Amino acid sequence: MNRTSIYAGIFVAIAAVLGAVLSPYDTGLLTQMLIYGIFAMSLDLLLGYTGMPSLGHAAYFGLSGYAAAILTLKLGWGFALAAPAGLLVAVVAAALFHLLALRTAHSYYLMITLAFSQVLWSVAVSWTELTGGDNGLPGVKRPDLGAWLPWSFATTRGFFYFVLIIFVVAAFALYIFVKSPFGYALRGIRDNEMRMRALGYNVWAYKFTVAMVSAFFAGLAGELYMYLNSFISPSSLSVTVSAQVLMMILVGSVGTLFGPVLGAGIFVLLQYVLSTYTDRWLFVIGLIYVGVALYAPEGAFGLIRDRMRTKRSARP
Amino acid sequence: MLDVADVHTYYGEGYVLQGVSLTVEPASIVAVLGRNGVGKTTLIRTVIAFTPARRGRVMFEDRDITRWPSYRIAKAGMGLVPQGRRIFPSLSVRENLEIAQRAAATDIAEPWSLGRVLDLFPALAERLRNGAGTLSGGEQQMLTVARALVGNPRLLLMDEPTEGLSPHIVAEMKKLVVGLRARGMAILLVEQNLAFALDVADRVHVMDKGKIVFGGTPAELDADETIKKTYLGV
Repeated sequence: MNRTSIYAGIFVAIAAVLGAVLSPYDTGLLTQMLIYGIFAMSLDLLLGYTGMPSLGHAAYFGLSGYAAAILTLKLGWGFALAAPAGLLVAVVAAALFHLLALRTAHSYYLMITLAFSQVLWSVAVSWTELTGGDNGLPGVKRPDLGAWLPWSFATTRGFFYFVLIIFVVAAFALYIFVKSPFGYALRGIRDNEMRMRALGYNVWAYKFTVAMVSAFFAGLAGELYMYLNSFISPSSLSVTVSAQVLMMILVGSVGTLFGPVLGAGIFVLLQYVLSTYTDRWLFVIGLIYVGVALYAPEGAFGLIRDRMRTKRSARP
Repeated sequence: MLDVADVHTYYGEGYVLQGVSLTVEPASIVAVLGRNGVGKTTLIRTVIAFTPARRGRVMFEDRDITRWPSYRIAKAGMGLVPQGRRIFPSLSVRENLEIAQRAAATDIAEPWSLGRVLDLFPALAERLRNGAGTLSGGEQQMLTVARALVGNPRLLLMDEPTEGLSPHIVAEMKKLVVGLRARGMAILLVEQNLAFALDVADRVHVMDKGKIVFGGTPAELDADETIKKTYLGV
């Protein structure tokens, strides 16, 4: 057992116990944290590992949520079909979009991803027959996996444990992915694309692939979010969501998997606490972000990690 | 094995290489000397197609690679030791070597395994788990060479490998490149260090303002005071 798997075990155990003892409302918050955790990890594949700053990651989050909802409500597809189809839509969209977007890098990539997500957002707002416009699409029932899992997802608690399972599987898959030679290659691309080409890497193909993988996990988070609320609206595609998930990573710690999860937890908690006092909670979070950028540029997880390292090396 | 024929390379409107030709035979070292800004690095960038030639041709083992994407050229057996110790600082020493090995072609006899490369660089073997960014300058330069070697190239492009190194490390580098040539490696070496180039090269070229102004053996260059004074400032 290495250190990482021990920490992971402790994390899951705490989450599982919390889910059993907290009130349904708080369990709902915890579910949101896990969902945003998956979403933030998916973006960190692009931003932290590959150096592709996306300001439009809500595109895949919202797109797969909408796709699953539309297929369920308008075509009557069951969960077993609609959910994978929603993910497929996100992945295919990422593939088509990146045929164009990979001509850009750095701040230009940021702009074009923003533009892409805004286009989808405006489609969601204006194509009323399909998307319900501003009112969104309510009434997608949570899945019933009675055949595989012996509890109902109708309750908040039941759905929380389903999300926890998905979270663990997703985090494990992402962990394997970033620790693989493919993951090293991504970090090499972030450090210097040119050098990777000189080593024989088809950098374009790597970026194209990671964009699809990232979209898959962002779409996964988006569908879970849609099922959590049994509702989806254009706000899931908005630039606010894209900026929030970006901020979760920056507050948590860029270029790690756990950092974004921590950032997601902090963010959801702050939003909950602050929004009971003020409607301008985003403003306060903005201030906190400025503080992080100034005093802890490596993010919260970076701070914790450095402190533990110092302690460990201080020991005789 | 490498045949650069009358290449002209531009950065946008900037006309940098103005008709450069040279060849590199197997198991030989060809050095290109010249002051800063005469186009030496651009020559390397043209060969590996980071900045492809607008006119002219680059042939590698009888294949026209002028317009190939860089990664394909690298896979075809060309290795690059870039200027300024460009390692991947956020990866460990081992990871730096592993990503280089992964993309490599392995269709040669006696390929450079990780073990064989580390035999050559014992200092790196001791620091495999360290972050490459924490290595000393000399170690980082050795890592760029090691990284190029595990890709099993038949031709090595080296861009000022002795820049900023202590005399002791330069001496090691000399042994290293001579040893590589003895094993059949072809090397195109771009240098400002005249003594190093004269010591190791089979053939030297002097560049000025994007053109080759001298080609000959190291002894011929060493004897030509005019060329040395005008173009190399010695």
